[in-house]
Amino acid sequence: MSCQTPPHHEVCDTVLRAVSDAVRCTFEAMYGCQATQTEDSGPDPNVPSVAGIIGFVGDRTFTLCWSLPQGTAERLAAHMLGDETIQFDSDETADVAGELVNILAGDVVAKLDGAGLKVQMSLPTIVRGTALQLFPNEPESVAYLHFDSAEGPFSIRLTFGERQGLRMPGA
Amino acid sequence: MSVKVRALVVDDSAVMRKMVMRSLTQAELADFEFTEAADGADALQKFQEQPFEIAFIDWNMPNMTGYELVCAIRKWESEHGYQPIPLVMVTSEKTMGKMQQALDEGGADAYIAKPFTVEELQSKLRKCAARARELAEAGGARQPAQASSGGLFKRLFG
Repeated sequence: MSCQTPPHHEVCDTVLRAVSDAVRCTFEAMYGCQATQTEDSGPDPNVPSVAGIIGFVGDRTFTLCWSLPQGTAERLAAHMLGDETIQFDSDETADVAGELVNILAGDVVAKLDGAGLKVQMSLPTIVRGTALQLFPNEPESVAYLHFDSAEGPFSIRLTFGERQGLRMPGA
Repeated sequence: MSVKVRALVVDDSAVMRKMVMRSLTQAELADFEFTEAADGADALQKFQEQPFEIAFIDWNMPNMTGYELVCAIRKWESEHGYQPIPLVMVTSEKTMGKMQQALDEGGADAYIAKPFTVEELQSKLRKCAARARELAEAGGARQPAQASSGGLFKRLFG
């Protein structure tokens, strides 16, 4: 399987396109507004954030971290649950971050499948803090996607693993 | 007055359970009375302890997956001679292979992909909701399957 995959940079580009498209689709379907990719440096890393992280294995191994700054996380949770009183430190914002990244990941898997790349996704992990980072094995294998929306800014960090994909269970 | 349809909503995310229940209520497919379960083991225990006419099951859960739960429910129903209730997979997976496996091999009746709209629930779950209402009107799903001489079982699964 992995020997048939395209070169590293092409696969990374394919993943980036799939993630970018999936973010826009997911955001519009969930919140009825557009998420626009921006070229700026993204949300202030020193603002407290909650992030949903999901790993992918298969033709390409990578990790996706969807980081929501405090204000964005509160607005998204309020919108999703119809409750304006949700606080950043609540279980609900963590649950929303996990569910959003889970839905996004499902769309990424489908979009990659359509592009000829087979991957499987893990269950989401939730982290909170400031300046959240995922450290890669290879420094060049990190990509950032920054977005702005009516609900506030957010960013995606993709960390690519070894160049040779990991075999999926049962494959 | 419409009969209550007892619905089991299984998801490890409390937010998603709330969203599913709210959307199903808005879709007005039935007069649902919801019970929540946070994982497969909790769901299976509740299912064995009390009757339900329909269940909405998340695919991607820790410990016991939605697919495993569907298989366990179908096995338990079969062992006890109960009528199979409609089982609906709720999933963020959008690749058809896994869903087809859940439908063909696991015995699930339908699936809905997250995120979903109220309109999608209405169009995709109309048949399942109708079956659940029939089960509720017939006195619940815990009637022995072979005793449904009125043709309900045949109409639903024959």
